[in-house]
Amino acid sequence: MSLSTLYTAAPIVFKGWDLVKVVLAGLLLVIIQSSMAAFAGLSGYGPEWVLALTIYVALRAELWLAILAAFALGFIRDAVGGGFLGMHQFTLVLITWFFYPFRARLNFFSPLTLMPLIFILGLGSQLFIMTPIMAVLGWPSHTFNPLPAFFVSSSLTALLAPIVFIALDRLTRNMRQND
Amino acid sequence: MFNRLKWLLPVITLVLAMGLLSSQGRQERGRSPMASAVLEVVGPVENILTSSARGVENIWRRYFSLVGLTRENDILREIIDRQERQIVQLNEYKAANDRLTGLLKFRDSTPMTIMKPAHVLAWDPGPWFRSVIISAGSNEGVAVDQSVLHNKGVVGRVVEVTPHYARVLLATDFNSSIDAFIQRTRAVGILSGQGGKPLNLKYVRKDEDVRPGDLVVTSGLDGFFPKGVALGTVSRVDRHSADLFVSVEVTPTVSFDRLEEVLVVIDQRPPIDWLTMAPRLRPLLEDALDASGGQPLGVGR
Repeated sequence: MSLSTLYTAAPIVFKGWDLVKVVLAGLLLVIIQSSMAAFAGLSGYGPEWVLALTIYVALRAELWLAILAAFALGFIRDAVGGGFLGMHQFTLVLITWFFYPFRARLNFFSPLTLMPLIFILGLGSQLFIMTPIMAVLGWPSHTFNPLPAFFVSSSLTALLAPIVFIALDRLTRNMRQND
Repeated sequence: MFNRLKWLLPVITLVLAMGLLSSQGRQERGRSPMASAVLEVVGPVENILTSSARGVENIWRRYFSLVGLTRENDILREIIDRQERQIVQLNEYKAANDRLTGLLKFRDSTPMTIMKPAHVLAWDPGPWFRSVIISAGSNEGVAVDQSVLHNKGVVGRVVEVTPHYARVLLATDFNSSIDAFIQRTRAVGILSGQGGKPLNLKYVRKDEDVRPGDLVVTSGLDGFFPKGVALGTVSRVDRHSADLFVSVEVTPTVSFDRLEEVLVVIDQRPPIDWLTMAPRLRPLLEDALDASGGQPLGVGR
């Protein structure tokens, strides 16, 4: 199968306002997380909801929709979270671009079995994309070690992703490819 | 045409994201109008969520916990916090009075400040930055670079403002640097954040007398924070490093994990260094006294 076919062969299952619903769900999750971070003691260790949502859209929609969703969700995460604008946008667009050729095969798996993949994508994006970005823009301190936060954040994202996928399946009008 | 655009979209979005990143890296963080617009939009939602969560927490504490004792505990804590703040201020007054003895009698005056209270609505959930969003904005007189305080000490500095909300860079953030000194010995240093506890007091000379338990306060010389506000207590001193300076760890007085209300210093006179000003003012006062014929100034006016 050629590269172009890999990128375009997915069934189109998003309809109408489904993408808008997903982006709004992402906005709500990020706002709730930032409001509750200190109450739940999760400041710095919270799950990356936007990554789970981006992977969900990449599994369900065409490439251009997935890229748009990644861009919008990344903007929301950066704007609400207070970090550098563009950091999560760049990361999520790259993740989508990397993940998209494999989604046809991965769409056969249930959300539970996708958990290890989401953990790897989360950890990998933080280690290999965000860390070099921060190294270029200004590493916080020579004593700063974000690895524990990366592991906890990626683990929480992977654990919560199945719930997010199932909830979004009900929210939108999507059905899994084999249903 | 649309198909071509769909294929170009990944490249376009990547280029846009890189452009945003590079512009953020060049300019001061938090100045993007787009990000400020999002802050203004999500602020009310965060306000509702935080108020609801606080309401649920209050119900749990007041009705499922011991009724009455909780309220009494809150009142007593408020009294203790106020008295602790007064103790820090009194020590500052005493130190200043000792220095100025033998010259004219100048009292340490607290700069006239207008403070705006605000609620903390949201926290940065990521590990890279330590910032919070508060419920006061430019409509209430809040501006960038204003200091944000708590009754226990310094919280941070305003870095982004919208009409109704503001983002505060906490003292624990890696980018935070506050001019400070040890209250007991006046040893100066720069207090910088480490992403959490403890803070690090840098550039303290090795011959300075610093001990665990010493109180660290703001010097006021940076122009952002009022002088004499508590920052933290020295928890560890390491003199064995090969650097020119001693390594001092400071435990902050403010509990940053449980911030609920803060005070934004809206109006503050520039910090006045009385040690420098006193000799210059003495001849002026003597001339004024001579001109008034020895009468106390202000009498009969």
